[in-house]
Amino acid sequence: MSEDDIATVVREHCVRILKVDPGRVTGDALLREDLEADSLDLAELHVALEDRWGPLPRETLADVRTVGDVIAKARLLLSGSV
Amino acid sequence: MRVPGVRVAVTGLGVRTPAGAHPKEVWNALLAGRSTARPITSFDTEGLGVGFACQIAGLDMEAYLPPKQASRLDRMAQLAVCAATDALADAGALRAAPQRQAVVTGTCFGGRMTDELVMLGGRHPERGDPGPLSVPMAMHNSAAAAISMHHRIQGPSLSVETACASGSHAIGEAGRLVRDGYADVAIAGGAEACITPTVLLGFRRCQVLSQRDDAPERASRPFDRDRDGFVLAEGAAFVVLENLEHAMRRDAHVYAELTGYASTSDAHHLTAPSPQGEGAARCMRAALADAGLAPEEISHVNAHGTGTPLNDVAEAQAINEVFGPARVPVTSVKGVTGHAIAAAGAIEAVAAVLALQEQAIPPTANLEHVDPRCEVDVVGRVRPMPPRPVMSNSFGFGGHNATLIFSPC
Repeated sequence: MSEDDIATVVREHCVRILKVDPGRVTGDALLREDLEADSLDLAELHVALEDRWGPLPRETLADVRTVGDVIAKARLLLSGSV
Repeated sequence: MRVPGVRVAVTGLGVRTPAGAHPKEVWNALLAGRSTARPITSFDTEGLGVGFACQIAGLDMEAYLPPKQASRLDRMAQLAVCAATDALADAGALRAAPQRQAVVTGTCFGGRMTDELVMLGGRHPERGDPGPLSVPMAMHNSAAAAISMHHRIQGPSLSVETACASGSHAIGEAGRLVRDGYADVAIAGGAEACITPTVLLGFRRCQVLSQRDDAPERASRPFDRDRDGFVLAEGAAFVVLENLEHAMRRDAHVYAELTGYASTSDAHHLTAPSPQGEGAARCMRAALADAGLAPEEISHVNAHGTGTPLNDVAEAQAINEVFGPARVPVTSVKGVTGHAIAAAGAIEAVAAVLALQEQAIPPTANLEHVDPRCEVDVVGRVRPMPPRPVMSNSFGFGGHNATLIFSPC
């Protein structure tokens, strides 16, 4: 999967789970402050990523702040370097 | 802790039922006596043995909650939020502090649609596919929680579970919170959204559902000789209960006063009523005593009247035991609304309050020949009534009985 494809998948999940306009889900959008994500939303996002790419460590999304952070995490995990 | 002299007023009504989303709409449907039972189109009923129910068409949450919040609620809690919000809007601006407000909800199946979706779906039949929201959406207290959060109710928020009596018990227990001084306002009612393949099949195999598939609209026929069971329904109804003095101080419209409530148990059988409806009779007597009323002061009984052969006979016997043979008019609105399980008692409480206001007894739909074993005065056509108290009964699987009495105010 290309890096662009990973970004697309993450953004699509964010739009679906957070129920926000796709235009707001930019790389530097703050998940909690800008997109009103809470702990349940991040748990849903975690499950959605696992459904797509297999089991992830529990703390995968523990320190993400932006959509870009999630995309970067996903890329790292998929490259096998975490 | 009971505060002497506290009276409990009904100052708001809200409904979401197959017969309408506004009390006036429901009232007109009850007067018309038209059943809301239709073939089920929301899932395939092939092989379930029953293919019809009373369903709510087109539930739109947009006016009530932002999309994300609405998507975090099972249909049961969505119906509850709609009806409770409408009831609070109907009551007008409350003056009670958030800490002096309470919410009590009744449900039987909780977030059953969510439960089925996650249990029956997914790649693993033995463990389903629950997401992070499956627990908070399926939990039975989700309606009370949602109403509390949405309306910033910071006093007690509780969920009562007594099967088909839940809605009545919720209203009765909320009335006690107000009467005993624990709250000045309580929003109370019931909600159910359990028209699913497994619930339908479970009830059918329990042999309590009507199987009149060739004529769904004639299937729900309480007290009729040819009844063969109840028709499953969904819905929600809520009332705002308020310390009468508070209500009068803010010039609120007072629909009625909740003057009597009682709760008894059959302690007899998992599904069958006790012989001669002993537990039900005891409940009606206790509610009369709570209200300080004699049987002859009751204008009519809004019966549990499910349309199952067993319930209607036992309830008729109990009513006769309390009131004397055929001494009080009896009606069941389930001919129109179907049986919305935990919401039923709340829907019927609203019907009882509206009957007081309109001074008319709504008819029992589909009543053609009163079952000779039900020797009560069943109301088959709209009947005028004097402005006197109305009694509403609910009985649940497990032998839970609840009786409410609403009086003119």
